[in-house]
Amino acid sequence: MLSIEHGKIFTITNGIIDDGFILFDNGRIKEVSQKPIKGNFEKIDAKGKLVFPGFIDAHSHLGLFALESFFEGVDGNEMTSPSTPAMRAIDAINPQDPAYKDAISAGITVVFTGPGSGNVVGGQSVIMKTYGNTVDEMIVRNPAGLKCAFGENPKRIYAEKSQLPTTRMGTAKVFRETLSKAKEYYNSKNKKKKVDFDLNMEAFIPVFEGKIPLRIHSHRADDIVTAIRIAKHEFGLRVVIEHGTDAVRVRDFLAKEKVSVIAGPLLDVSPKVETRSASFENPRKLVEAGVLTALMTDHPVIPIQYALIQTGVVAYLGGLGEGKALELVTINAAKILEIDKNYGSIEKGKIADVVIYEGHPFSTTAKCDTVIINGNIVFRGGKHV
Amino acid sequence: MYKIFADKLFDGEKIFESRVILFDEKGIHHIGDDVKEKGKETFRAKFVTPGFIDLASGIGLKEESLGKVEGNDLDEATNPQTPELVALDGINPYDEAFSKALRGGVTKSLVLPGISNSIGGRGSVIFNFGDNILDMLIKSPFGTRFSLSNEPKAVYAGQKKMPMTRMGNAYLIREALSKTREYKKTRKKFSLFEESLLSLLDRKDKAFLSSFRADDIMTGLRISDEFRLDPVITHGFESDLLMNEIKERKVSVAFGPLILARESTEMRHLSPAVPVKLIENGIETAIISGHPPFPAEFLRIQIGLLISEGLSEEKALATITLIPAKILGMEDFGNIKEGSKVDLVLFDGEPWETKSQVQNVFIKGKEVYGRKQPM
Repeated sequence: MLSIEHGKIFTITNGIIDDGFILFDNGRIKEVSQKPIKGNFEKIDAKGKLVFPGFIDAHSHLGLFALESFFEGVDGNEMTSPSTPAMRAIDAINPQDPAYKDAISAGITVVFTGPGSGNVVGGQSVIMKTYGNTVDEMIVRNPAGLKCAFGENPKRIYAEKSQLPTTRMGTAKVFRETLSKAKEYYNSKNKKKKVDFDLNMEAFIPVFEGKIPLRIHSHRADDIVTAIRIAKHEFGLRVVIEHGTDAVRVRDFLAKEKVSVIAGPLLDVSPKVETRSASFENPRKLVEAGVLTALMTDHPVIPIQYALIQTGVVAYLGGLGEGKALELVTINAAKILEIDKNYGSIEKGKIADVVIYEGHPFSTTAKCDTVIINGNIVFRGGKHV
Repeated sequence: MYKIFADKLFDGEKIFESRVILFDEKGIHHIGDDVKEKGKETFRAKFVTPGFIDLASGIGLKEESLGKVEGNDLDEATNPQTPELVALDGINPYDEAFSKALRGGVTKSLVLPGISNSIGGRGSVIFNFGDNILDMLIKSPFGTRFSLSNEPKAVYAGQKKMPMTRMGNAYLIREALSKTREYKKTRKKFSLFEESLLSLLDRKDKAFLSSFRADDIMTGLRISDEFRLDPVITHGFESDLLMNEIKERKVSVAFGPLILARESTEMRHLSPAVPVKLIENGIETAIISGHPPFPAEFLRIQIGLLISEGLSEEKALATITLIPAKILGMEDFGNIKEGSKVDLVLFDGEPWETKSQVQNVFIKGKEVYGRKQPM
């Protein structure tokens, strides 16, 4: 058993406890209290420090575009066909990617990571812990989403190959055709009809069962609407919008459709025409419109250890405020990833992922002091254990 | 006459409490703690600093939101030796990044061609504000970009041209400088190629040597010794491994960007601890944005990371004010003293914090940015 004493606890879902205590047992939070918890267990003194739930990066490419390497470590886009649903991130993730330690050093304990946006249908993504030795032991959920992409990226990649899609119509065609086949495959299997086993089509079974969403990369508002029109309206599938740079333009539509947005990255120079409406104010406008919103680093686009600085800019310059901005990288991210039963806040019964900071993590001069993952101290006094 | 009440004033070297600054378009007339004289307009700020200088930027050359063709004039990757190129000819003054840089307190940039070529071309020092490029211009050409890194190899291997090795890269640089040395002696027939490199040999221009790895930095220094160049180590992620060599030669470092993914092996050493080590060992070090991908607008946020590593606030602020100004030979742009340029930024808090915002920016004594509401 392990406890934290006298910390200023940002529970996220139940306010801030100025002088709080947390007890961990068996990898979970056993108790959160305003009074000292008595007992004979290891104690971490957090006096003068701030305590948060482990931070969550809801969209990244950790382990797939590995740091400190070129070709050897780049496994995020299988750009040999525009539809590759059977690609599984878990088969490529390198848990030795130094980015995992970078993530821990800033208190990020859970990430969503998966294929890039080179293909219209990219493959299966995972939710994983940032600490561990093998990918299998780090997995929280696999598959956790099926990556799809609209807009400039797929058409740019395939234009170079003079192959469809080279237009947005082409992208929609690939998408609709893949979904049509998958629906037929799923229905036939459901009706116990004999079908030839197809690994690509198998990837859609959890999607049609409603177990995982399509995670659709789209920046421009028209791409966002196309994605929802086809996936949700035509096929009845669940959709999460990735990036959603221009989502503000259709925020009321998104709120009405109950489609969530994982916004970002924002701490970079807008690289494309379709990213032109990038602004630190976007998350605030989405939240105000009632859209469930999280914030991504899109690591390596924004190095994952600077996730909280990016969130700080959204909080202050973007006007969202500290409390709401914290939700973008904790409870909102957990809700969109559908892991909020176990993650995203400091509450009794949740997994013991907790971070202690000296100074507010949104400050450039703050220091991450201690990181606890699954009830184990993995980072202490600014050093990896 | 304008008047600013500053809770804190960083004058380029030190932070002073409660200062009053009187200035107009001609210059800073007085700095004191109790100025009765009435100013035309009065500003109040938590923190006042000289306008920040981004010592190595691609702003205006690789533009925001314009994509890979229209918005990219950074790398003329058709020939590894292009000293004739001048940044000024490619800068788009209407790049949206300029107004954003300004609202981040960055008033001046040294814009340099990219790092694809062994010799990339010549830079231009500009204000990040103006109606057209001549209005923005401070001096040009100034600074010549050399690239000693994987980049030229990666680009030209694809074109089956030299350089495909570090030897080839060094050869191309040495060959161009040797030709210029010969040209200087005879000057038989005008050649733009050699003309563009002459001021380097005369030490009237600086060589911005873009390298990440220590061996590449050392190659740059070796070639600089050979041709008696005045080098500035640029990026310099492993320069802390060469502390003595850099100190001996009294060479400056333009370090950064700090907020950048270590996407290749040659970047593995990147950390805010490196520039702090350099500065604590007395090496003149500026911090750069490397814009893009990291935005010039947030140059100020990068220096917070240095403070977090234990560097003093004054020394951290100097990395984006006085130090780059000295390297550019424009010291009066890097400080706030009676008689210095009126290039000022007013903050509502500590400049390096995400929480703080720029309130007003003055260039040449005129207010060029004033925050009316949240961005």
